[in-house]
Amino acid sequence: MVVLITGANGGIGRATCFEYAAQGDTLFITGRNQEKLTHLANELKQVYQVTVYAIVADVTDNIQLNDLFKAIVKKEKRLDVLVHCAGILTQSPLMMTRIDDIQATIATNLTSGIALSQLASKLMMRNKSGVIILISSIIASQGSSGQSVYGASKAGLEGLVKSLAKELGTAGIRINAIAPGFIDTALVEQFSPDDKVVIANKTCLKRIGQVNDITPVIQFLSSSDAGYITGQTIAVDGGLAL
Amino acid sequence: MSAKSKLIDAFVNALEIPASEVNETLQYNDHIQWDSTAHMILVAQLEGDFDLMFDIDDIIDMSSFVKTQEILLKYNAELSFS
Repeated sequence: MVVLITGANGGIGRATCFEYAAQGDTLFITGRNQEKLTHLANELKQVYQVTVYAIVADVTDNIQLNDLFKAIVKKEKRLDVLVHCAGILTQSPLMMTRIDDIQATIATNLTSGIALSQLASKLMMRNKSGVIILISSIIASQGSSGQSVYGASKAGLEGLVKSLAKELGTAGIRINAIAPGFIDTALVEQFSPDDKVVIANKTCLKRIGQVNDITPVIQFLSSSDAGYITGQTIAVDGGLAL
Repeated sequence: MSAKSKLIDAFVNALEIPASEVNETLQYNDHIQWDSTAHMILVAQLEGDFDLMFDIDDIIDMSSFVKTQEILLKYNAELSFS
């Protein structure tokens, strides 16, 4: 399979790269930091002897996204799976959130998901098959004080998934979202150890999630085992939302 | 294969209509087979067959068989549909 993973330098993105590389897939990985991306690509190639194309791209830049897909067409002529992990977490009360930060959050978390789904589905349609997986958050359905903009952006993704499932199903393309709970990545590094204990105690499983709790679900959703699943948001949160 | 034949084949495959119906009068939403779903498939087919990537504005403007030829010429002036 040919798999595109955005936000490859992030916690879930990086682990997703390893998950797919381990099964011998060809990867296109993107991120904003060239040095980190190249390092990751080399690591994946060395460990798994797979083909990895590392392409620096800002998911909020339409020109860069178009160039990314031109590269995919040129190199492999197909795309089987898109895993859109790129995202940012904004944590501040709405009254204290600048409009620039609101727009940046919506652009990074939501608009990019729409634009990438548009480009990916167009390419997947050539083979009348493909899988799109977007990373939402449990905040989209549960809400969280201080995360209204982030929650709105992720809720937008879940709405996108439902409508696109209806729109793309006849073309053989499935689309789903994963809604992680509190996952121990750099995205939540501002939380203190005490905060993390409090959150862990709110889950049914009494622990913070790890990226390796997420990646098998991503891989499952892109596999033929999930061939009848589309338009869904799967919570992977240790029961935090219950 | 000529560009014209390639184009007709793309319409035949994407819209699932006979080649005899692919002519200068064929228009989006006018022919029962050329709906929004077929349009998406047509765009994907044309991009693959002609090795290009359309801008969104061109996908929206691709409203007829004739218009499709004009748009393809924008991307590759060397094509001939005569």
